[in-house]
Amino acid sequence: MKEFFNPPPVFIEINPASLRALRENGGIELPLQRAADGKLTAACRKELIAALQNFLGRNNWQPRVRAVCGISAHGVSLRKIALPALAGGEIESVLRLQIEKEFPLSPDELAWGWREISNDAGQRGIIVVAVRKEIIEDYAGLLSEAGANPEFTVSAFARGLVCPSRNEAHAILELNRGHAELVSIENGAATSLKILPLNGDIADAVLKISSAKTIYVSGNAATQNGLFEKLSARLDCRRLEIPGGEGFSAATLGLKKSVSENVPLLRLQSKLSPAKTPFSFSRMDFSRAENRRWLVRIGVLLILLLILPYAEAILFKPLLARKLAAFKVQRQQFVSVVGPELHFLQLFKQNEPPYLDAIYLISKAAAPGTHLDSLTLNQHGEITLKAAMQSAQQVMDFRAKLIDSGFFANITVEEQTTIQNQPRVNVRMTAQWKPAGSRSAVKVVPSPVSTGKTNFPAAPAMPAMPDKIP
Amino acid sequence: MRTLNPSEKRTIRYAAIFLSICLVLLGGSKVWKFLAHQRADYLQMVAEARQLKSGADLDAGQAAVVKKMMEDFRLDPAALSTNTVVADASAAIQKAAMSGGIKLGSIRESAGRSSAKEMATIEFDGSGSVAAVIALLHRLPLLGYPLLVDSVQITGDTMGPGQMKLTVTIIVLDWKKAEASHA
Repeated sequence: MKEFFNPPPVFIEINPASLRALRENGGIELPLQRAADGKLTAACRKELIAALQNFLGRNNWQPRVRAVCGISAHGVSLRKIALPALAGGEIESVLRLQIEKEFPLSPDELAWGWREISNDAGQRGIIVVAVRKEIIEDYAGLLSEAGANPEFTVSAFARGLVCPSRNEAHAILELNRGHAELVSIENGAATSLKILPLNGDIADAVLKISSAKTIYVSGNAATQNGLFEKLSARLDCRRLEIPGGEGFSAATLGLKKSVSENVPLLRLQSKLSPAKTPFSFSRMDFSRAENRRWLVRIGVLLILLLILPYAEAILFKPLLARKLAAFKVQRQQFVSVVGPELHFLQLFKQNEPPYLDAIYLISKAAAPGTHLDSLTLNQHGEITLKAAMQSAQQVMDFRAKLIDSGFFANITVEEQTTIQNQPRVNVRMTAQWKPAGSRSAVKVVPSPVSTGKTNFPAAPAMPAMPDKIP
Repeated sequence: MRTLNPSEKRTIRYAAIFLSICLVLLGGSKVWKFLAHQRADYLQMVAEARQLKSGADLDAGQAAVVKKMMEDFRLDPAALSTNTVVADASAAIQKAAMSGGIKLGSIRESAGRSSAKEMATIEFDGSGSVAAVIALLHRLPLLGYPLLVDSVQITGDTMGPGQMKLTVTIIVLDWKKAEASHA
């Protein structure tokens, strides 16, 4: 699944006469046909695009494949430049000035890159590699059309990564049927890059150009014409062993190694960094297929942005209407059942008379020795009490306690009769419990005295009746 | 038919272009109005759906309240039958009284006042201990019937100390009428 959205990179070596591409599972080698000006012919370009598309096997919806490309040394210039110590951000602007001075073309007409090779006190040694911008843009356009996202370096630098001893001074000679190139490497960085003439004595040319003691030879023509033997006689000459098969070369393997081991290679860039290039719509080149494609994509996205709210309305309106209708019916049914039940239960709860609360408060207010003759309560809150108490003071206390409870109103002693020669006062009282909202809540304090056994297991919260009432 | 000269051809071409533009504008305006109308309807429906959703949340709250009250009173109005509720309630009251230790005396049933949403009135006498009387009063609303204790009369019994005589009037509520009054 990861490969669908993040396809593996492809490593490409572009020579004057061939293009080699290497990927995870294998590679291809395609011949190149060039016009007199060195550019690829239209027919060759078309075939290359088709072959690369087939090789990459990318679907249109997938992201572009990262293509790490190495170009041959043809047309590539390498210069060593010494700069004073500068802050990182300033170095590119100073380099541009140096390029103006050192190269025949301006930096804007070149694809170029740089690398620091030494950093002594107060001075930095830098190599700058540049090639005509058109060369890189030509390859970039071709690879873009094939569905790749290319980045460029010089093949000779990549070959350095497959050499066994990278840090010792050495040279690498690449010999193919169409061309030969030599790169000298010191301290892990290329110091010179040369194209060798095929018609002369290459061995002599190598010895003349390179001062390296060790020379690695690669390429499919390395063993021809006794060159290897000639060089071996005079130098420590070694063969770079490269596995056989299409797409395999010292350059493609070096590019692959740079990605897998995360070794940065000098990168040729034909554009300024994006942060320094202000976007200008008027400067956009719409003759380029890539730009036109982006313009179409932007247009499609804008149209979608405009249309989607309306499309949503048209698509989802019937569905939403159906769901709403079904929900309304369900809700109606629900409300028709639950609403009346709730109303009744609320009514039932509101009308539930607080008989137990009233009896509990009366029993708490009664003094010890009080004898209850009768107690009548009704749902309207009317209470009538007939009792016998021991003194008139107890009657007053009883009444006062009932008033203090905050539960009763209109407490009236309708009749109070003292029995002669006996500690007894017969009393008849009436009262009214207050409406639900205005009466005080009753706090039930369980009596320590046992209330006796009962057969009602479902009445645990029942208030305990004090033993003051017989 | 005579051949049109270039000037006439140009005029006709311009007229055709003008008419085409008019037709496109007219058609476009109609399509735009249709789309805008559809979208307005859709947005209205979405708003209605949101409102219904908040209403549904309220309904869920109501349902929870009803469930709790039904559990508190042990009363399910939907499970009651108007034909048998008085008989069932009377039997449940007697059973509760007897199992709680109340000796039942006379029991009288009479038709309730329909205007007051009453189905019947049950009046009974009994005697028992203080705890039994109080427990019965506590138990009556929880028998699973729509019973409202109309009045309670407690008198000291001559049977012995700690004994009480109890007269209770209970109303069996007509819950159908109560529910209908809400609807």
